[in-house]
Amino acid sequence: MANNAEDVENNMQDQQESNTAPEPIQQQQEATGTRVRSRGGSGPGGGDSEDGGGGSGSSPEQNGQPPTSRPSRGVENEEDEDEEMTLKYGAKHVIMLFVPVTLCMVVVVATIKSVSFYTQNVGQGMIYTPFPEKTDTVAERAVNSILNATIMITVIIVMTFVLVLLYKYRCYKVIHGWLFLSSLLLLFFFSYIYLTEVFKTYNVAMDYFTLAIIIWNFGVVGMMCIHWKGPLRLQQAYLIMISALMALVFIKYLPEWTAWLILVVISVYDLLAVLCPIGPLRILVETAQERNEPIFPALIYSSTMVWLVNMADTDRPKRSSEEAGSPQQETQEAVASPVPSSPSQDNGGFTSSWVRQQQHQLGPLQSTEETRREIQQMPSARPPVEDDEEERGVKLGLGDFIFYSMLVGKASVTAGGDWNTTLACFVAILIGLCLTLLLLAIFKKALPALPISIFFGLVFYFATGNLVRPFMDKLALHQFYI
Amino acid sequence: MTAAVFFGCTFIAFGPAIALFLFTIAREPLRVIFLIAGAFFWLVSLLLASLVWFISVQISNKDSASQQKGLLIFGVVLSVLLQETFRFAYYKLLKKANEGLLALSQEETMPISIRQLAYVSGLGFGFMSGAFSVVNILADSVGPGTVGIHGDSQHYFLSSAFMTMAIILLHMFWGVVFFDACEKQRWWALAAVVTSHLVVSCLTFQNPEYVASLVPTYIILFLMGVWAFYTAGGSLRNLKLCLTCKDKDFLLANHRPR
Amino acid sequence: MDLLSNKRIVNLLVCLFFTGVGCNSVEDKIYVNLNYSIPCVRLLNATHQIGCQSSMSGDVGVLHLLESEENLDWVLRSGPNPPYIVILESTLFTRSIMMKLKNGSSRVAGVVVVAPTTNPQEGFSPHNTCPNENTGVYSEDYDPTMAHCNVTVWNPLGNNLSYEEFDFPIFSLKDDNDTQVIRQCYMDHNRAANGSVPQYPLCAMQLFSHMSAVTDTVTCMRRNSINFSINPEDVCDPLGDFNVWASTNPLNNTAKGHKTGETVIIAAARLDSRSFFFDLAPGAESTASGLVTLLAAANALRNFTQDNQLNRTIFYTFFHGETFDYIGSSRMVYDMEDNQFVVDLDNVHSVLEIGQVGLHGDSKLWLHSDPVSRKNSSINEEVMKLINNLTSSAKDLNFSVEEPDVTQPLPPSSLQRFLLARPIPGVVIENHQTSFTNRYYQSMFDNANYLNLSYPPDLTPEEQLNFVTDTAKALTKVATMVARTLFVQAGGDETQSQNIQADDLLVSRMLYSFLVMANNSWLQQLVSSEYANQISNKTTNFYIGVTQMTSEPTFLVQFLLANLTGSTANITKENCKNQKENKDDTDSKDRYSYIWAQGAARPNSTERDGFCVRSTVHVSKAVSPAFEIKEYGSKNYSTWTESRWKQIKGRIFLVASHDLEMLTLGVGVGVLLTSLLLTYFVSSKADMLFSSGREPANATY
Repeated sequence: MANNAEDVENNMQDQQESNTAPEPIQQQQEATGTRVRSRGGSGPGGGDSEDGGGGSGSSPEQNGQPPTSRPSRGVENEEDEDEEMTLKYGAKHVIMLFVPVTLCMVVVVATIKSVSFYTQNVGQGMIYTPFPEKTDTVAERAVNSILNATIMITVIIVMTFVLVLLYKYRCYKVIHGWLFLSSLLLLFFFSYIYLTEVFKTYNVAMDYFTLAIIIWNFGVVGMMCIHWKGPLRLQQAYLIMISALMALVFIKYLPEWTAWLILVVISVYDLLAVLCPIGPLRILVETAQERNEPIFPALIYSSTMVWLVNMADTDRPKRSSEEAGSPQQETQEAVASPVPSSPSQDNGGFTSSWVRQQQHQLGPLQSTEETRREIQQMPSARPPVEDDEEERGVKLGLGDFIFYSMLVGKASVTAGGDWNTTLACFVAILIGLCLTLLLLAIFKKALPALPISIFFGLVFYFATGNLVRPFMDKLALHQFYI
Repeated sequence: MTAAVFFGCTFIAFGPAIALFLFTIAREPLRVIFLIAGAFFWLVSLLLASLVWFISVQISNKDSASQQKGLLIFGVVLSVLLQETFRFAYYKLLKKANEGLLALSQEETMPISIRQLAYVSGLGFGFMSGAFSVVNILADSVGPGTVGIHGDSQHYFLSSAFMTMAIILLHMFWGVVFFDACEKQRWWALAAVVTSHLVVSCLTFQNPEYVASLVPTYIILFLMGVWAFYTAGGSLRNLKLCLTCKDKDFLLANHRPR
Repeated sequence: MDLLSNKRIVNLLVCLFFTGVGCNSVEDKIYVNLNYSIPCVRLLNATHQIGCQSSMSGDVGVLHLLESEENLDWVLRSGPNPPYIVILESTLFTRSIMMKLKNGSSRVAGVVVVAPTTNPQEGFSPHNTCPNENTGVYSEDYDPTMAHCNVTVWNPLGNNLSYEEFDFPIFSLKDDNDTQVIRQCYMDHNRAANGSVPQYPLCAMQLFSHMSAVTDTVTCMRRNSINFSINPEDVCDPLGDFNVWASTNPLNNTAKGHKTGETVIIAAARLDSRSFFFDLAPGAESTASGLVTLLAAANALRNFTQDNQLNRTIFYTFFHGETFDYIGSSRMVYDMEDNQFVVDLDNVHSVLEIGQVGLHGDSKLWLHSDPVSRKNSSINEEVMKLINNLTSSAKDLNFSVEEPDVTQPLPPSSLQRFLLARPIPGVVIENHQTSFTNRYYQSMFDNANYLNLSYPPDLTPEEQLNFVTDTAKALTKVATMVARTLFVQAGGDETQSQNIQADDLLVSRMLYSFLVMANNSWLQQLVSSEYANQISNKTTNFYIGVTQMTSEPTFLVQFLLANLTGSTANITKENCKNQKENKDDTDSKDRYSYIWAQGAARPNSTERDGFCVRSTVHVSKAVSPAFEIKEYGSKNYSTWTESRWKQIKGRIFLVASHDLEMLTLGVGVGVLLTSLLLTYFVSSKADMLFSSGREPANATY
């Protein structure tokens, strides 16, 4: 469980899948035999020491174990040792994922609660959800939302297969270019919108010059951190921020029932795409393994820096492209999303010229979704490891972040300011993630990260909103405690 | 009642819990996971209790206030019993998991002891219970108004915060005692924990007579704390040694035979 | 029983399926929301902003019920818990008190005015003393002696409150149970007993009415047009609506500009009113009286003006927005000059305007005209002819009309905008000789009570609708006089004009609709089904509102005018709605307009027998020309805009003392620090503390 790479595709059509590449673990197992002595230590930039001196200052191995027992393990076979290490490091890696997921959710919930822009109803959502939900009857609304979800998932499936084909025919440059463009758009455009809405909420006067300087700096530093190199914490912070931005966009533009249906459908699709033999993700992973290539790590949040300090220069571009891979797909998706196509009279929003401009951009972007899909499905392959530092990290695809945050964000949109639902969904998602990682440790193969968490999250959302809330409300009224 | 009241009440309600989390749990990833799992189990128990309550309310007469209050009391009692049931279930799960981990790793020691698990799970239950009870109240306390325009007591926020603090700490103590009782098969201790939980919940029926509900709750808190202290392996002698800073000598003395 | 249990299960499932939008019960313990509250909003013109503003997160203040003007001292100086929200009974809603509150605004968080059920005796007008001073015809160029109300102050009771700027919110509440709750809360908590300081917790109120626009129209229109934002938000909207007009002779509406051979007599009335508070404008005497009179006159003339009997066409016009610097009339004159209207100024022969004609006591009406234009002999001749017509028509009806003093300028009226363009003979009929007799000009008290619209008690609404009140009878006489005058003015035979008679039942029903209850069975018959739902259940609100929202009077007058001057046509519903006589007709829509009215409801059924009304009623845009030519700082045209806002609401609650809050914070911080220290101590000594009974080498702590 130590190194799992979950590639999550973050696609504006909600393509998403996460799988865990088995290679790093295999590599780790291979490396175990040669590295047993150094594992206990903390190499520079190694995964263990990455978590900021985690634990009570002692290395994790000493949790509950007397320090004397370790040297005796040197003669055990690699398998057992590996499992024990897996178990020992498993908890730390779970926590290394909990913290960013929690941060992302906190950002989304804080924004939803304070900035009303993201909870306002847009007349017409994205062009991928053309059927309106403001219908007269319940049945009509249900039908419309099912149709919307079907359209989305169909687009995603098509894109996935196209992506697989693209990867098979080695169109890497196209993928690179589009990734770059989409992360550019996300970092500049969406953060600009976010900032202006925050200013509007708090009635802060801001001139265009200062705004331009802020956005420019934010964007350029973000591009550098994500696509090239930068401090690990900064890169992680940027990835969390763009995941939060994407989740906010989804919350704003997907109609109510469609959003829930899409979450369900995406989880199911994720499950099928990763586990079925004909699943596109699985094909991608296998292709990547056959070629033994480093796949573009699409939108992957990494808890450790991949220190290829001692490696040759040829690896650098690969590494940067890997790290660069992820956010761009996301941005591409992100760009396509806010296309409110019809300017209605009373929303003083999008003029038709803006919409046309968006649709114009949307055209060329469509191909990027394919590339995104493909990239996101590719597990991140690591170049053959020569140093042991990079094994210690754990990866989670940004699409997971986005859908988790979207679920929690939608839970906090409910009227009445109810925080119980938000809390319940938060805990449910964390437990789901924990269970997923546990299964990962047990089965040691690619697994989707969405289904369990989303399932728990949805169950708890509806149950808490409808059952627990009236109960707790009544208790608070009388000030009873349970 | 503005930000001052919000922060004051938050610190009162969650202060001890935050302190415990920061100093004892935050550094150990395994403990964090079991804390969140404990919170999850509490949540599931609340869900089931709410479901039963909801169904009973739907089939009852909604206009009769006394019937509704009776159903609410029934809901409270049911919820308490379900919480303790789930605490037991969590204990069983942890035992199995621990045994599994032990078997797998061929180690002599487990990565985390049952006593630590008891503490962590109790705190998890407490966190979730406290959060669900008080977070909406805290959200309302940010506004400019205080409770009272319809004649309710003005100390609503403060008393809620203190009650929450007591509940969180109580859950932690109950967890320790409960797990220990299960380990040592002392069923009377188990019954005592459940009974004290019921008593504390029923004491809150007296709200807004805050003196009548808070004071006995704190007495029970103190007693449970002492019991948990002894269960966890503390003793008066240790405490005295600690307080008089003779612990170093004691430790050295203790370690010599090893 | 089975059915019941099934229903319960379905209920249960449905409840489970939908997320509840329930209220938070703790919030209910704290706040009591104000259900009915009318705010005062911010209006802007080329140079100023007027109205009220609150802070973005609402203004919180301790309630204080003002007992007298001397009691203001508590609010402004001696009260120990500023800021205060002052509750004013309507008798105290005077200029002096409001100005004092405005000056002491650091201690004033808001004002709440309790609207009374009866009108104040001494009169109240928040409007200015010289209405539409800068956009009328009397300026330094036209006649310096008459500019700026030098000769006559039209609204002497005006205290100019509507045109002041307040930086705290001002709300108006009805005197009902909610307000009683507020008074009770004040009595219980805030009342100091005999000089002692009131004890916390105190009763307080929070008012939200944050306005987005600031400074003036130029600024806010500039901010509207910023295009860089993804989510551009307008901050203000121009005031505007539609003028309604109809002609006795069908005119080709698609051919704009001069109509050769057509001479038009404009019979005008105004459609709008205002008050200090937003969307509350009963406008009984200032608007409804003239409006109803003209409608009744148009109806009376219906049978006499068909078949093109008359030389001149009578043009019934209802101008909207006259309160705000003549929006409607200035736009119509602008369109006429720009050849964008069905006729142009050369076609206009004369203007007869009906102003405030509610008769109180003495049945005397005054015929105002413009002395400056009458210096021209031909204009003077026409005006004399018109006045003679009016006088002779009035004589037969047993009430008198008179001309005021020769040097008296025109009162504020739409005719002034026509005179600005060119000298046109015109007369304005008013019920005052010099200053207004209307004691509640443009205020919320200008209502049915002021017009003495009284019905005998114990009448059902239906019976009230059909009851002819005395006010109606008086107005009917005025309408008959106007109708006969217009007939003769348009070239009709004077003897024939004796047969023209306005219908007093019609006048009474119209007065009932506009001033008591608009949603009645008679009016429901006359409107089309789309608008039937929009008719309000209370008195008509004559406020013009912003351009995007059509106000109620516009479409009510449109339907009324169509039914009263038009005729039923035997056309199918589909053709009627498509503005056609029959399937192949293409040019009827140029001259006529067709409305499919709902008709009467069949007994014991919701079905209605609709019918098609063919009339010459049209609407023309009534938005100030300043917004057409984008001269937002224009001095010649109206530049009024209304600010946008996010939420308007108010609530009351108790506040605790600042000391208690700080104490709570202190206790919290103390608890946190103590627990941090204790935990640190325990956890660092944990090995030692929990050493006894430790399982050997198995458990660690």
